[in-house]
Amino acid sequence: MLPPLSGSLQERPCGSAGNENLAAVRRRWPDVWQRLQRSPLPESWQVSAHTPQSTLLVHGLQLTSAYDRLGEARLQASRLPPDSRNVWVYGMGFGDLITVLLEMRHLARINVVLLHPGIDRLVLQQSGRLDWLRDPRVELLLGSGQRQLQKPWLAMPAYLRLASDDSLVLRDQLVLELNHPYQEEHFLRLQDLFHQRLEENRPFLKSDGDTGILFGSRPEGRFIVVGAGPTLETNLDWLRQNRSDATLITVTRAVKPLLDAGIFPEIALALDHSPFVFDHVRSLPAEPLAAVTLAYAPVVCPELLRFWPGPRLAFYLDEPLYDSLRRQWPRPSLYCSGTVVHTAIDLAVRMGAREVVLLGVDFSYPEGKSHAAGAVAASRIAGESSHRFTTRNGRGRPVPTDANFLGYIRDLEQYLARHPEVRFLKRGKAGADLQGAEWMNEEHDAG
Amino acid sequence: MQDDLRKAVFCLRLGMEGAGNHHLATFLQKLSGHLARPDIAAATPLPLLLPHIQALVEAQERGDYLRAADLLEYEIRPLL
Repeated sequence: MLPPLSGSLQERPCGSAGNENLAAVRRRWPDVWQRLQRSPLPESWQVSAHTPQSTLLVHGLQLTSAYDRLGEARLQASRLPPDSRNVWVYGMGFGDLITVLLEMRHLARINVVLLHPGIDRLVLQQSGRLDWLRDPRVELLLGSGQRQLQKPWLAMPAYLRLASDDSLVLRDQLVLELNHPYQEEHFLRLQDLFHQRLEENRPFLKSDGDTGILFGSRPEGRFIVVGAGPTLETNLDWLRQNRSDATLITVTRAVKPLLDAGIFPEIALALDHSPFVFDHVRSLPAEPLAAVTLAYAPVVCPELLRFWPGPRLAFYLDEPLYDSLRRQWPRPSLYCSGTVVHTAIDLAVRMGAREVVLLGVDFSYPEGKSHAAGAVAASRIAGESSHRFTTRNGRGRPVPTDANFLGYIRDLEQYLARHPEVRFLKRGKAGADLQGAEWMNEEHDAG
Repeated sequence: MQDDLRKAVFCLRLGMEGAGNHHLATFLQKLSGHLARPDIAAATPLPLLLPHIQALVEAQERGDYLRAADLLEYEIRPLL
């Protein structure tokens, strides 16, 4: 029989039960207790009203179901592999999930990772007596001390939105892992289209050059890699002044803003299957593009290849999709984990970069913008709340982002860590912070 | 349509936002088509249903996925 629902919630000063909860934490986990004491409570919270069960609303988000908390916890617990002895629970909530897991006698240890100590202190204060705090199988740990998910794990979904800054690395990994099956399914659905594109582009592959001829061509070189993020706008003057001693590699969406500013890249990269990539450049005059090399993956739409007036070089990605082409027309594989920006950076590294400056690589929506002015389909996001994840920008302030961008950031950070021989620099502090890329001093540092 | 609702609830309660939003969008699309039929609309308590649909959309927009799951499972499904 399950224990009674732990903690009826009321907005009230910390009563005796709350004090007992905190005392239990202090006894067993003094480091955790100290961190809880130092953590400010959320600025905005309330107990849910007019719902069958009570839950907390933190910044307008429910911490748990307000109808059947234990039912929700049972659903979450059902994902645990049946032969598990230990489990990691990311996010504390009220402990409903922990309570359900404690019913599983085969579990030897339940590691509860606190992803927002301020919220967790609030829960401990506001709840009735939480018996699970006293179970010897439960361990409380701080998310701030960890960088890698441990398996098997379960997650409290609300903390994906509410995690504190020092738990964002764990939060991002959770988001990636939880969304991975859906993304895989999405790409599987596109396989027929990809194969069709490879067939359509065979004539181009047969005659176009090999991106590999660029590898090692600029040893100890200085490169500037340009994405189409909003901060590109405020760095065009810097780019114009620093262009001459660097090799400029861009994504296709940034080509128009660059040409509008009178800046001409050496190389443009395209690898997305979407016909929208052609829209990035179709309205541009042919003459300036005639001197720009297009490096492409052969799933791009053939219209782009037919249009491109400059040299074309092909590459593959490290995927089985390209295996048959690889045998027939060997081409190198470049790195990509979801975005052409990754590939542009990898090309710079493979060309021999000693230093790579990243411009417009924002992976976020600074000032609510999607792209730099002049980029095709640049827009404002529909209110900051519609992109409900946030990450920290180069000034340490929250900036809206989304799940895909979080994945790009974390994967790129791992890539940068694998290349200590290259100095990576970044401009555009309104965009997302990127571990492994040093921020350059900027003249415009408002906001 | 009920299957899309169930899948949306399942995914949202587990934090699988991509899949949850996909099934939620599919459910809302099918519901819209469903309610466009006069016989269905007449048999559905629209004055009760529509405010919950509005609340659902608002919950999704602000990323309040457990609220969205609650509305789907306990308020909207019983009315369909």
